[in-house]
Amino acid sequence: MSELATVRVFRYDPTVDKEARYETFEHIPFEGRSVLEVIKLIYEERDQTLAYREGCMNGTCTGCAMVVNGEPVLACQKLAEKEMVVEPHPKFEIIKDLVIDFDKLRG
Amino acid sequence: MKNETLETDVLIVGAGSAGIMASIRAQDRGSRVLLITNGALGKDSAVTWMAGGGFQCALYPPDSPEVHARDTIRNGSYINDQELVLAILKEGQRCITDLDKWGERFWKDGDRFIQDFMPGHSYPRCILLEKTKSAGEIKGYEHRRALPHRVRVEKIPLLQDLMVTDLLTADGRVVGAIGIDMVKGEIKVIAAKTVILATGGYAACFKHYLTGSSVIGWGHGMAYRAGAEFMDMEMVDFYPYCAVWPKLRCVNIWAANLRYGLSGKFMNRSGYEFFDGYRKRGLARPQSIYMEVKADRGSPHGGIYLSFRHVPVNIIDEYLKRARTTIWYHQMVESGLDIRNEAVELFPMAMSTLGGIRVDTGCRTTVPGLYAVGELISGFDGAHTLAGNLMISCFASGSIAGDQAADEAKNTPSPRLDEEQINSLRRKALQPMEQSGGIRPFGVKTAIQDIAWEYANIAGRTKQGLETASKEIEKIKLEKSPQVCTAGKHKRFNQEWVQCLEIENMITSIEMTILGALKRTESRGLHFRDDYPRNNPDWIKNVVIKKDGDRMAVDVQPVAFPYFKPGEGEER
Repeated sequence: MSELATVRVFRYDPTVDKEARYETFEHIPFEGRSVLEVIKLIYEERDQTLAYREGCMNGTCTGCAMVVNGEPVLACQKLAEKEMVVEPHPKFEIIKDLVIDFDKLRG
Repeated sequence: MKNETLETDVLIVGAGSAGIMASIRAQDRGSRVLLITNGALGKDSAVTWMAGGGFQCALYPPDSPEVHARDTIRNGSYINDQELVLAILKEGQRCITDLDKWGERFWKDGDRFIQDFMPGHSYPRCILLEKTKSAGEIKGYEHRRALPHRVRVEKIPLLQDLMVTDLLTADGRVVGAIGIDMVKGEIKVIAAKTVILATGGYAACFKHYLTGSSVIGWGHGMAYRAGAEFMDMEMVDFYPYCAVWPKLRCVNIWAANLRYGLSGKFMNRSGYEFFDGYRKRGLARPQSIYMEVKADRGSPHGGIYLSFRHVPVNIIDEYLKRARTTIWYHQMVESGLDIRNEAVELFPMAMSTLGGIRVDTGCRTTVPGLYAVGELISGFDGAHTLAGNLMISCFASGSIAGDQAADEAKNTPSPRLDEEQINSLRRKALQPMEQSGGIRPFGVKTAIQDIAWEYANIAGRTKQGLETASKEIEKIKLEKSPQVCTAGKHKRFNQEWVQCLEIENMITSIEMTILGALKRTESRGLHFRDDYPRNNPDWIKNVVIKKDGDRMAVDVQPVAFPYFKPGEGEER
């Protein structure tokens, strides 16, 4: 059987939550997938309240810019790993979860 | 419920090249404009940001828009709208001049643009970038660098993360739009004197596609419901050089870099270079690959081979050294592929849609107040896109529509909205959120994509197959579509909500493609019928589709030849 990943995902809805939290998703198929594909899988099969930007899925539009294990990446181009912490890009204000407002720098 | 309403003169839905160009033109003309994107500006799934190297514009004699038009129409098998082709190509020059001013870094010698040759063109007319100087370059990056910036500089009023779901009409005229504000999670209503649709094509209605996943014909569905006429929806372009093995995460067209950079050879599983035979029958490359694979002469992953074994190893190594800075190179190395010994496997994927909304030379649709631009229009490409023509048609049609829609808005009073219609459309948009216990959208979308792929592909279309497709789509429409709903009922950034609403538009787009393909009982350009494999001169006609009550009405109409008659100018 192929290996499964444990993914900790940053969750925060500034209109509702006092503070951010991390949610852990276990037993996620990840081999050969991009981080964005893994997030999409979590979204479609585990938690439909998770918000993220899909963009072009091609590595060109940069809409899926986020931080994976401390490193800023394009999630559609970054190969998924067995242990991952996925966070929004730190430079911008958070709209919800992994979705950022590219027009507003985080204060 | 009272609806909070925004007001503008010209509303532009979609912020790719065509939409942005339209918004700039309309504002220059003195209109109040509002530009809407379904994502973040420049980071949405507009196909413009992924544009390749083709960027054709006739700039200097002896080349001219007329010669370019002749090339375009000949390549389009004469079903193009000749007046529209000429109008768009004449506008191209103005767009190139502005893009240059706005900071796109083109390759120039003094004031003169340096242009390269591409297949099917009478003169070298492909504009190049200073940095890469090659028709094989990716221009999307450059557009993404310049255009969103221009929107900011020109202070174009912009709404982002807004998913427009329907057009508003009153007294037979389009008077605005309604949509979901994803950030707030609420419905927004916008009143406008004129509306320009710039929502792109519907390649993502097919199982395998090159675009972002939201390119499913939002504008097609909305315009259809508003009563617009469509033309030649059976014409869909597939890009031939998409890797099915190895699968990388970056653009599926990464292998095209190898194909152009190293003159790869295409072969079937016996090592035979099969393209020539198909070319002599007038078939395009994606069709040739499709047929070769269906004839059971393909590769293990369902493609044909692209081989570099004929290229000396030192040439390959030199090329790969130059490619080291690219994303695809690293992913290729990571995949373990050694192109010195192994072939890549390729199969065509849906790339762009040639048919679409019927427009006149001012990009007006048949519905008053509604304009369409970019990939959404029909009549420019005809049956086959001439290499590198898509981007210029997007910029130029946007440019034309921006001017025209602004002028029309000047003479149009502020619209009076139909509150009853707004409430009904609001209920429709909220329906998947309010319904529980139904079907989630993902599987339904996949089912539609599978049908389109199986029966309406780049070749292999038959009466029987298309009728089966039509029945299966009808079944989804009646049985599944009304039950589609979200699992989560939160309103802020609920992508599943949007995906539920995509389904109706996917169905409309694919139904029109199937209907057009059934009606056109011949093979022409990118439309290939196994049961009618020949090009029929009596079929130099347009297939026109529009809504007629609950039914899709289809009509076959003659093409006018004001400039070039079929058969003329075939001296090349």
